[in-house]
Amino acid sequence: MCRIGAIKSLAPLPPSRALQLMLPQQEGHDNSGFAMVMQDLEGIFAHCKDKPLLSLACTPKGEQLVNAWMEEHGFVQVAQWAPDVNKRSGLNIELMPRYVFRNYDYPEIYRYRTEKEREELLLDTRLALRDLLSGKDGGHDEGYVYSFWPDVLTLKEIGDPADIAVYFRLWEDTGRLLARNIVIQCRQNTNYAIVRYAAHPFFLQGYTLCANGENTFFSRNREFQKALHRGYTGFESDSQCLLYTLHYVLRELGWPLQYYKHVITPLPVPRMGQRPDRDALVSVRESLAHLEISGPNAIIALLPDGRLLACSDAGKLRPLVVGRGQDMLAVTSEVCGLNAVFPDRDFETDIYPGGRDLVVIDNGLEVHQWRQ
Amino acid sequence: MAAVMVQDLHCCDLPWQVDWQQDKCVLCGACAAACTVDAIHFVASSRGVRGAALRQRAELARACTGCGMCSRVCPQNAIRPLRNPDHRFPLLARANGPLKRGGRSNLHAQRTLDKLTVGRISQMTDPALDSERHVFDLRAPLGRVLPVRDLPLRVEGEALSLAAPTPPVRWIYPLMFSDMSIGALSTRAWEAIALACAYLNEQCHLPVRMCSGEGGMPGRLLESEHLQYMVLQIASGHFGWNRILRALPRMKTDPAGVLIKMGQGAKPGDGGLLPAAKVAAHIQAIRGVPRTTLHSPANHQGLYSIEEAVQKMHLSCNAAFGFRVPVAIKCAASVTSVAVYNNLLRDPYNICGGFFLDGIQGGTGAANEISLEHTGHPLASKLRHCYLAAQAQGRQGQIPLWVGGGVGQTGQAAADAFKLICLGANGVLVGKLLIQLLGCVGNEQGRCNACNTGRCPAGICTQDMRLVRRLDIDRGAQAIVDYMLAFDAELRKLLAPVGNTSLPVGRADVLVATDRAVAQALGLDYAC
Amino acid sequence: MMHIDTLDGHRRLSTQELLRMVEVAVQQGETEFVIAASGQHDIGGPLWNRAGRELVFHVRNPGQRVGAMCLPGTTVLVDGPTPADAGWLNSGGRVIVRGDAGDTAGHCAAAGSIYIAGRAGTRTGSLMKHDPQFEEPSLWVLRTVGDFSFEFMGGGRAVVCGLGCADGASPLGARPCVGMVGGVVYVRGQVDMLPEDVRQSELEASDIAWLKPGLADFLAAVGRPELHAALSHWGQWRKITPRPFAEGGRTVGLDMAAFRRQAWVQGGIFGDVLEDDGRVVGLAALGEDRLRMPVWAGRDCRDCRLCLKSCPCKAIAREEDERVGQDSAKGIYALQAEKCQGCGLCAGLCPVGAWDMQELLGHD
Repeated sequence: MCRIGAIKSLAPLPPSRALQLMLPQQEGHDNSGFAMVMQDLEGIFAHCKDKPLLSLACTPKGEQLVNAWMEEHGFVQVAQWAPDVNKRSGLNIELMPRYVFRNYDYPEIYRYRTEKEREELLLDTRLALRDLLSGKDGGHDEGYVYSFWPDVLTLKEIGDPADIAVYFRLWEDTGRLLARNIVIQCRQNTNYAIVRYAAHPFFLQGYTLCANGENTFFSRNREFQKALHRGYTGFESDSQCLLYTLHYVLRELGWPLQYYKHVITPLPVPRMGQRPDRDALVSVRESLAHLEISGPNAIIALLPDGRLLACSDAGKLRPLVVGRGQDMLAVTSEVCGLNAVFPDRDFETDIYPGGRDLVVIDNGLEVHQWRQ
Repeated sequence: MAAVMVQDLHCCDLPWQVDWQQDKCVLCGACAAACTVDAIHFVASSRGVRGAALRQRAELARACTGCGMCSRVCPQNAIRPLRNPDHRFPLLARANGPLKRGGRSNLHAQRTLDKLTVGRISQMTDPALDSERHVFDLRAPLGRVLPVRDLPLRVEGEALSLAAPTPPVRWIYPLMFSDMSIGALSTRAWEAIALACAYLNEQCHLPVRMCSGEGGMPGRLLESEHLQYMVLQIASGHFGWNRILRALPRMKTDPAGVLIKMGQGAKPGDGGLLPAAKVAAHIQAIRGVPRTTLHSPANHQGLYSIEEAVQKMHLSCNAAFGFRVPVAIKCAASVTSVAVYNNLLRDPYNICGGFFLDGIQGGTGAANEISLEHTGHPLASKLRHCYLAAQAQGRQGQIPLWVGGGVGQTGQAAADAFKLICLGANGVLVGKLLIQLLGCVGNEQGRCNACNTGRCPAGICTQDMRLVRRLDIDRGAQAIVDYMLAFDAELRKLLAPVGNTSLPVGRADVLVATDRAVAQALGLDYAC
Repeated sequence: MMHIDTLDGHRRLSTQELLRMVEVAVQQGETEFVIAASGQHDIGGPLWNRAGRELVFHVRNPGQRVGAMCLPGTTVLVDGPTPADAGWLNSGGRVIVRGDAGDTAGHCAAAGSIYIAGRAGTRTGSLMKHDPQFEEPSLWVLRTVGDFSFEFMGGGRAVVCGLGCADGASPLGARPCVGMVGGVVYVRGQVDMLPEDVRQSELEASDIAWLKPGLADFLAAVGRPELHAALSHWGQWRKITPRPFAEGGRTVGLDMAAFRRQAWVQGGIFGDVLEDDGRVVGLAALGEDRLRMPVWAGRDCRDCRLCLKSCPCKAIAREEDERVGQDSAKGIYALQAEKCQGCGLCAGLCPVGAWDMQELLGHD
């Protein structure tokens, strides 16, 4: 079990608001880790929003390897932020020696390349750095590269989320770290090995996703996805499959958003009934049968354009609720999280998505709801 | 008194010996009246009951088959066949050429599936489901599934639509009634199965399909709405297909599919044979042939390469029904199955709608024992390898895998089906199980297996109305329906603990093997 | 009255710390608590005052299982919405939620009452039961409940008022009452997707007599007494109860013979090519259904009557006419085929071989 949350705001927010969202949900997780993706950044990253931002935790040797590789491949560093950490003793946190958040300029030869080509470059670079730090066979342990994308910052660490927040001074609203979208989760994967890459949220080419769940079709999904895209890799967590399917349906296939839900939790064929898109739905189910998920899952995802998405498994076996505060909206596992950040909201407007629902929140904070 | 010579045939040479207890017998004669092979007869005997005794005949042609109809009918429990472990039948019975029989392989009754258990149980990490109250989606595709990039999808506003037709795919129950022909089966047996199939669809909402077998189709069924439940088989003899084609203009509905039979797991490489004696008038009428011995050669005349097998045959069958009906192919499992499956998967015209793999434990109405026992390939590993071959190409699920041969051999069809599905099958076929539900008493320990003789004691594998009248269509159909409803509930009982509401096709991670060699061959965890 | 604030900045009391504080205070005689919670679980039960006095909890922002395992004499008042399992295994307490409740509200509640002033989530009321030794549990929901509600309900009464339910939508969500075996669900509005083993009916006078005061109490507790009139149009209400045990069991379709008569191809699918009167015969059948038949050969008959006496079917008759003893070839004995099973006793016992057995099987 874990607890997930996301907060979306018209005005940039500090991470403390997301921490506040998660604080009352502590009994729902095991305090084993912390992970956060921030998108649409302000504060110290405000002036280089179009420059890809590398989020990295590594050893000194790992940093040297990355520096050399980036230089060799023509990336030019334009800004760097090293968090001013609180080295108080007694914190329960498994630190990496270095935390690097760095904006780069694209290599010169990419100056006139298309957006799409640049996005492929960023993915290839992240995968290359990952191999560089972990070794092709995962034999090295020189560091972890979580994301490399403009306007996206990822922070993940093993330990007590409250202590991790203290260490990185996330409770102190210094104005340096601000974003309009924050996706957060307070647990390491404790089913299997503790691996930093196994902590939600996961990130791929602008798509961020975290899930409270157990995908019992993991092996089916994984074996199918391996052949679909070079970026579908790692598979340290069964929930990565949910991100890869989102990426595949929206970016690779270019389908309307609600088909993500149709792919992961397809309707039984007899229930597709008389819908006008019945034939398409049947075909989609047939062709992407191996992307269907099973088991309990609540899913929150952030799209490259900033829209926030929430849904769950068809049996609605995990909690999920959407609530609105002043100029902001949050999606999270339990309503007590909403009560903490938006204590005075009209809770009658809260949305509890059912097993067949898909909720999307656009950048104007308007909520769109589809039923399968 | 004539001397007894050692080379004289004696009952102790036969596989079954009839045990008759004269002290219980009341000489009602029912045993001898019921015996279809005339294995027993009465003689005068001063030491018998009122001067009479029952004797077993020491004749190869009248050798007791162990069917046990005598004990079934005896009011006194005075008679039963006993298995004779010291018999010499395989040696002696070949005096008139190769030994023939029906049933299944007796040598290769290995049960790989029983060495697998559903070992990945949803407990803490994710909740198990409840087989009674949760909604399960137990349907499987039959038909060519396109890679998603090949779907002619068009985005219209917020919806997808198909801009061009796609190959037909049926979503049906993951268990199909296997192909047993009219001719191999009696009219009543075949009708009982067809009736059960219709009942399951119309009264129980289980979309079960039935394959016709290679002996053609009853004309009345071709022209009825129930045709939608039938998969029409075409084998090397093409029997009955001229009549199927002539019925096209009068068909009210399309059939569920067409199945091209290339081979049969029970006797791969050995053709079918229906002796003239069994080609009764109705079989002549349905198959469209005169009374004569009917051969189904082992090969399709005119198909000399896989390209032809795929292209010519699939194309013709697709064309016959206007490309509206999925066309699948059935092969005996073989070392070459993966190669065949690869060819089908890579076929650029997308006209193969299913690969049916028939394992060595499949049944037959008549085969040379040499083929039955010594040719063929066990199913489980070949299925797994086919699935993995598709997976390695990212093509899993594109040509549904349907498998048969020994499914339900121990009566546990749901467990067999579930395990095969986890290994990669989309659905399974049962044949022998159905006739066993109708009353067939044959088994893999050499009991009965007289399907080739026309003397089936259950009225199932015979065309003689004296025997066919033994079979009650309604009771038989009801037994099949009852079993299928239990099968459906049991399948859900296996889905629920692994936390799946739809079929876990290829999800081998839920299985563990209690045998190291099986674990290794199937790529499963070994558990002990 | 004891006030507890569970948050000090971002330092939060854990559930364990909070519940221990409460437990100690209750043991010391404290009976009223005001708790500013931050998601702590299990607030409200199972606790009791040694002197039998009422315990009251005023809670803001509890976590899961508020009012869980609650005992008689305890009232839990939640101001605002609460997450999953509100009133779980309620064993006699009064749990009032002035907001929405999350999934599985009232799950396994066995006594007491649970009042929810908003919606309740998926699987609400599942496995509610009634222990005859205690009063029956009740669960009241002002608005609607989520999908799969009241699964396996075994007893007690649930009331879903359907306030604000969208037109055409079911206040009970999808697939309610699956596996319900006891108790009753009252619902205001149209319900669909009910399983076959429950039935929906109009309210009776006794139902209204129970609902009317209960509704008043419920609305007063959640602070919405003004709704009483609007919710009291009893014609808008239905009740759902399990079918009595005797009515249950698997719904059987047509019996097979009737199905064959009504829905199958008339005359059978082979009726055009084969004559089959449909008779079903036993293993030892008579007459034309025999597998073999004796044929009178008559050679050397000594008229010993062994065949006649041994025939179990009494199918052999001795012809008592003038030919007896004169022309044995013409037959002393005759067979009545319709009685004969073809067992061969006659032929087997005849000392002179006067009967031959002829195989019929395999011969047209």
